[in-house]
Amino acid sequence: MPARDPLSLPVLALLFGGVLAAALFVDAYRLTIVIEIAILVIFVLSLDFLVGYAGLVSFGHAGFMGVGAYALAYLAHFQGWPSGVAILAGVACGALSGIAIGALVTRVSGVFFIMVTLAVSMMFWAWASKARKFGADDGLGGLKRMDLKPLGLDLNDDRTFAVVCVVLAVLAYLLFRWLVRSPFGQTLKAIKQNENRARALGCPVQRYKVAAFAIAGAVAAFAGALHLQNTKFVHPEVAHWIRSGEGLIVVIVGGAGTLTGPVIGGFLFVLFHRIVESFTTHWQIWMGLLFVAIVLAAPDGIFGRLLSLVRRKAPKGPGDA
Amino acid sequence: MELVNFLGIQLLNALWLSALLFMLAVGLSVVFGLLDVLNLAHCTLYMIGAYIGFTIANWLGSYWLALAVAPVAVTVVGAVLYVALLRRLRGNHLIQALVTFGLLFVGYDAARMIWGVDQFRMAEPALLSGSFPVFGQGYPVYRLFVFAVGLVTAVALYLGLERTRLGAVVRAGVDDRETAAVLGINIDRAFFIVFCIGTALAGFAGVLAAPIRTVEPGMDVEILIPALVVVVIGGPGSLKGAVLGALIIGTADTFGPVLLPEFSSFTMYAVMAAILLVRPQGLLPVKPAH
Repeated sequence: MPARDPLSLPVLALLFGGVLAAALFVDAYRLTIVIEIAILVIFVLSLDFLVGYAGLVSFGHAGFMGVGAYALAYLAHFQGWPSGVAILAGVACGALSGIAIGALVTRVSGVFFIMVTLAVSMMFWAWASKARKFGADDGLGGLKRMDLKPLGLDLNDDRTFAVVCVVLAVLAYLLFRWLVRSPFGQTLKAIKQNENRARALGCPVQRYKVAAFAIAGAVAAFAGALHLQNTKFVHPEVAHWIRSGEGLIVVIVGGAGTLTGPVIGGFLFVLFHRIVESFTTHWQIWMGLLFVAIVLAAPDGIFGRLLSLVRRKAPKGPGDA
Repeated sequence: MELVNFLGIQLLNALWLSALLFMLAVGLSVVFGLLDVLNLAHCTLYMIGAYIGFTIANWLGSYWLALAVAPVAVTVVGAVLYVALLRRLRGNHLIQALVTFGLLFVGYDAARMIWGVDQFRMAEPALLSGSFPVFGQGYPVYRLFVFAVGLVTAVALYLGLERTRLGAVVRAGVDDRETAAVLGINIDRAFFIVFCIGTALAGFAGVLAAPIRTVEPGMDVEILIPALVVVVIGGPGSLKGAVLGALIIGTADTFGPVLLPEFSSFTMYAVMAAILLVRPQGLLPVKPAH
C-alpha cells in the first residue's frame, strides 16, 4: 500500500506545465535550458528506477547514455540509417548492454557494486575517447536531427524540438510511474527491502535486477540519443563519470525512491548550474559542497523531506488517538 | 631477440605502474577493509599530493623536499577530512560513497581554481634522471626507482601489520572490535593512524607519479578507476590482495595497449569481469573471523 502523497500531482503539474509553457514562449537561450532540463529528467528518472526502486546504486549510469548516443551516431552517420530507426536501435543497444552489464554487476553487492559500475562506465568512456572513427576525444559533429516532417514537425526548429523533449519527459515519467506500480515494480521494491526474504519466497532476484538494468539502460540510452539530437554532436563526455555523478546527485538531492523527486532535482540542477555558471566558472565546487551538505542533512532528499513534513502536519486518523 | 627486448621493456613499464597502483589501492582497500570507510576521494588526495609536490619542487627546486613534505601536507588534509566527516559516517557505505563522491567534484574544481587547467610535469631528481641500459636500450632510472619504492612499501606494510604492536592492535580490532575495546585497546586511535598512513601513501604516490604522469585536474579519477579495480579484484582489506591486484592490473594496462591497441582500454575491465565472474569476492579476500 503506497503511502499518502498529496504533493506529487501539484508539484509535477507545476513543473511540467511550467517547462512546457517555457518551451512555447521563451527566447532562444532559455530554450536550451528547457531542452537540457527535459533530457536530464528522462535520464534521472531511469537512474532513480535503479537507485530508488531496485536499490541498485549505480555510479556509472551515464555509460548507457553513451551507448545510446554512439549507437545513434554510428548507425545514422556511418550506416545511413534514418535517425528514428537508429534511435530505436540505440535504445535496443542500451537494453542489451543493460542485460550484459546487469548480469555482471549484480553478482556483487554493496561497495563492490559501486566500484564496478563506476569502472564499467568508464570503460565505455575510455573506448570512446580513443575511438578515432568518432573523432576520439574531440568528438564528432555534423550529425542530424530526426526528420519528422511527415508528422508536420520540424525538429531543426529549436522550439519544436523543445516541446517534443518535454512531451517525451512526461511520457518517461508516466512510463516509470506505471512500472513502479506494476507487479514488476512492486517485486523490485520487495527485493530492495529484504532480498533474502524475496528469495525465500521463490523470487528470481537476480533476473529481476537484470531486468531493471535493462529497462533503465534502455531509457538512459534514449536520453543519450536525445542529447545527441540536441547538440548534433557526439563526445565521450556524455558517458563520463561526472555525468553519472551529476545524475546521482540529482536523484539523491531530489529524493530517491520517489519519481517526483528526480523531476524536481533535474529542474533545480539545471537552473542552479546555469545561475552559478553566470557568476563563476567554478560551479562544480559549489555543487559538490551543496550536495555533501544535503546528503548529510536530508538523506531522503528535498521531496522526501517535503513529504515527511506534510505527513507529520496532516490530521491524524481515528486510529492514531 | 627484438621481441624479448620489447616485451622486457613493457614488463618494466608494468612494474612501475603496478607499484603506483599498489600504493594507492592499498590505502583505499585497507581503509575500507579495516575501518569500514569507503573513501572515493582517496585519489583526490593523490592529486593534491602531486600538485603540492609540483609546487614545492617548482619553488624550491628540490624533488626530495617535495617528496618529504607533500605527503605530510596531504595527511593533514586527510586527517581533517576523517575527523570532520568520514568518522561520523562509519558503517553507512552509501552515504560515505555519496559524500566522498561529492568531494571528488570539490577536489576537481578546487584544483582548477588553484592551479588552473594547465598540464604540468615535474622534473625528475638529478640523481635519478639518467637511464639504465637494459633490453637493448636505455630505461629511465626514475621508473625503476618508483618500482623499488613500491616494493619497499609493500614489505614495510606487511611487516608493520604482522610484526608490530600497532599491527596486532589493528588485526585485533578487525577481528572483534568490541572485545578488543573491552581489553583496553584504543581501537579508534589505531584506526585513525591506519587512515593517516593510507592518506600519506596517497600523497606520496602523487609526488612519485608527478614526473611520469601529467599533473592536471582529473588525474585523480584517471587513476581512481584502475585503483578501484585493483581493490575489487584483490579483495577489499587485503594487503596481499592489493599487491596481486596491482600486478595484474598494471600488467593488463601496460600490455593491453601494446598487444591489442584497438581494445587498449578494455583489457583491464575484461580482466576484472573475468575475475569477478569466477570469484565475486576478489582473489584474496580477508576471511571473515568466524
